[in-house]
Amino acid sequence: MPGRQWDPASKAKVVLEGLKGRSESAICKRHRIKPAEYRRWRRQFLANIARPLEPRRPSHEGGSRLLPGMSKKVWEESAKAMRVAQELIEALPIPVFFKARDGKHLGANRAWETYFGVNREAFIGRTVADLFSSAPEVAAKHQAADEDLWRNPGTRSYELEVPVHDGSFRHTLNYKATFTGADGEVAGLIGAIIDITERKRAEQRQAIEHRVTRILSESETVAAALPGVLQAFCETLGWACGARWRLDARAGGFRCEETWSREDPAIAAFLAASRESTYQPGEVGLIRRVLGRGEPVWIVDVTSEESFLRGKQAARAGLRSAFALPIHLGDQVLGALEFFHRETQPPDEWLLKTGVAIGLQIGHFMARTQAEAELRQSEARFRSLTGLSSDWYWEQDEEFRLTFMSSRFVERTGIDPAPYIGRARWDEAALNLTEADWARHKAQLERHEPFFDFEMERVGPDGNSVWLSVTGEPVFENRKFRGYRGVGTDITERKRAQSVLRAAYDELARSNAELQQFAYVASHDLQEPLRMIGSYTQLLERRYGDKLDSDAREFMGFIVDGATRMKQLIEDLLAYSRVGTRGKELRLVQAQGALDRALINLRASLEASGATITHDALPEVTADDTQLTQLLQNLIGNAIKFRKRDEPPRIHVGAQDAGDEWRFSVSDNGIGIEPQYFERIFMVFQRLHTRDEYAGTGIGLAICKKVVDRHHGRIWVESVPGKGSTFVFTLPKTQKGET
Amino acid sequence: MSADMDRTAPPVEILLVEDNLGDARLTREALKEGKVYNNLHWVKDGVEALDFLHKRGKYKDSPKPDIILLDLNLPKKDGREVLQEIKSDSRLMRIPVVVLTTSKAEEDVLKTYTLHANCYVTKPVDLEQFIKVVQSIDNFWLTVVTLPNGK
Repeated sequence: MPGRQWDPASKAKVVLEGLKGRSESAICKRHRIKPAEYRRWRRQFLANIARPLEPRRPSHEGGSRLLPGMSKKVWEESAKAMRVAQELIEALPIPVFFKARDGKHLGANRAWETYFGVNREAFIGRTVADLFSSAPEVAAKHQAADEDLWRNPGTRSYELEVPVHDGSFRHTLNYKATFTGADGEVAGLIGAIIDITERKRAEQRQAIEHRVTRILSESETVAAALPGVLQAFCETLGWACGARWRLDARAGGFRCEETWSREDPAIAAFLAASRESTYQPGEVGLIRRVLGRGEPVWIVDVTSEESFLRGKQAARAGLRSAFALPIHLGDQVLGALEFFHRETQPPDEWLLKTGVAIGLQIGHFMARTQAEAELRQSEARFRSLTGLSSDWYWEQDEEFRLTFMSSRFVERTGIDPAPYIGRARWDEAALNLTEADWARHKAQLERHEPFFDFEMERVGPDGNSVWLSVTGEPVFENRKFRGYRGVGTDITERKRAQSVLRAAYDELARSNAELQQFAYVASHDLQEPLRMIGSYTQLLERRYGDKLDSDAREFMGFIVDGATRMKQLIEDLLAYSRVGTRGKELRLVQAQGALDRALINLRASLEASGATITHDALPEVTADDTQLTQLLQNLIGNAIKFRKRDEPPRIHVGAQDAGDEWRFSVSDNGIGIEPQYFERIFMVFQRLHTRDEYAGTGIGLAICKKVVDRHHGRIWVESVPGKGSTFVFTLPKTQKGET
Repeated sequence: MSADMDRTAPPVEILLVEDNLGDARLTREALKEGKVYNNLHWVKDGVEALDFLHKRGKYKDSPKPDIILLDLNLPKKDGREVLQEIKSDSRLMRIPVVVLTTSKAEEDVLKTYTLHANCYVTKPVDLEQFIKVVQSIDNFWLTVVTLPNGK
């Protein structure tokens, strides 16, 4: 023992005895070596098998690797082949390992070392039970597979979920093949591990998403869809329960709405507690944090997380891990999904991503259902609006052919729209429209202009005419003209009313004309008896005056006076009625000319009263100059008539440019008018004074008002009793036409 | 013109076309108070007036009037038609026609017809005025018109 120098080949020989099945104690006894030393040799040997032989390794080592009974040539060849195999294995990106027949590890490549996070040299001689000490069920499954291989050597492959370096579980596909020793006996196995986690998860995720998509497409509301979605997620991934939280604007927080769990009273109790909670977005907890940050949150163990408020209930339900993720609708967090697991689970990025994808789907679903609800509402609004403002809705294609007519058309008009479909509006005659009318309408449509209240008189089913009014606007898609759409109204009643109105108007015009005629005839024929009364009374007085007493003569005086007044009234009434009927056309005239003529007509009274007349520069106006003369004459005449007794009248005729009209005024320094009479004085035969005070029938201002009305102007008076009056009238600068 | 001259002259033949008895009488009374020696012929409608002027029927021997006082509102044939016939007949068109109207308004209307009346007179309610009117016809028209005939 001490003193004896063991060369590598001798050491390998010793180790090989052990690999062939000789017990450790027997070997140690036979070669008089300590067990620890044997184990060290064996470790070195096995490590060398798995480790590629570096070419730069000292050459003196290479020459000493001959196995017993192996010729140098065979050794060199096999060593070369082995070296290639070793280099290949070492370079493989997938974990590869060797085990002896007794299940003890002989070695592994670098990928294996990384995959499990275990030092491969230190692990030589250890077993799978050591590798998966935290997951005995995984180790047992591997051992069972190995046992099967030992019994039936060859190759095997199987899938298994195993914990890896970071404690997370990975789906693995394990390939194992036995190898034999120099003696032809099964010496061990070589295993390779392919990580199929991504594939598995992609399948799972696809399955979940597929299921969720189906549930959402079959559901009308989020509430109806959610239990199924939660179930799909939990069942596929092995989580115990889930819940959705929703923003409740009225309650001012987030409420637990739908839940799903496997049949379990404890979990049901936990979920019931959840449903009674309301959370505000915050910095701690599960739901609060998700809503506060808008990001997923993972809690490995809710029973030890103090900020998790439902911790006690969760513990009673046997729930440990939890995660939650937000449901977004655009930038807004509308709610959250949460899931619970019975065992502690390390944070799983993949799971969170899957959850977020589902959250996104639900968000889109909510957006869609909301959009649909809004669309329904908007459609309802449109329907009620069109129902109020019009009778039916129609569409036309780019060739102006009718493509759609809502059912209200036939309901309202009784006309079957079928013959109109596929045809242009002008393909069917309208009683009120000529070819030229249609051509104009068609040209407007070809310019893609909107049109309003286009009226058509069509023949209804009963042979009576039906009046339709359509309004349309062009439709563009991506700036390309697509046709027209619009609404229509049955205006038959309106038209009927219009024709009744027109008839009434005509009747009114006729009766007005008759009235004018009547006023003329009446006043004419009234004169004759009056003349008889007046004249013969006077003749009586003339011939027989000396035979009558003074009373009789006075009475006859009253008769004559009455007849004379009556005649004046009739003359004035006639003049008043003639303002409307005997007026001349309105044309441009000089107001100055009208004023001059008025002053000439008033010369006598102007001189008698000693009146002073001043005036502004007067404009050119659109008027009937005879009537304008009469208007100024009446106003100035009034100013003279209603003068103060002790003061000669001073009268000013003004003219002001007031934008689209001229404003004339006749101001005096006369007796003025009490404000309560400002309206009344413009009425026919309204007088404010007795005839003893001021003569006249009270027709003058009524004629003024009628003249101004005919010119589409306004007339009013401004006055301070005792100070004077100003009569103002306006004349529009442009006249639309005569009344 | 003096009253003496009037008496020596032949009577003025006046044709009054007037359906209203009162007005006719008033005209007669007014002329009676005037200074002019006249023969007043009174017919009551347009047809009669034209018969008179054309010396038809019972008016075979009637004189050609020196002046016609024509009311417009007449039965059968109204004053406008009578005036039109007078003014389109070369033998009658030189006879002055005084149209008697009921109102100023009526006069305005009539002027628009361009009927070539020589004068319009609105019948006043006041007798004094009426007499003045008739007398103005006396003084003005008769003098002017009869002078050439008197030669």
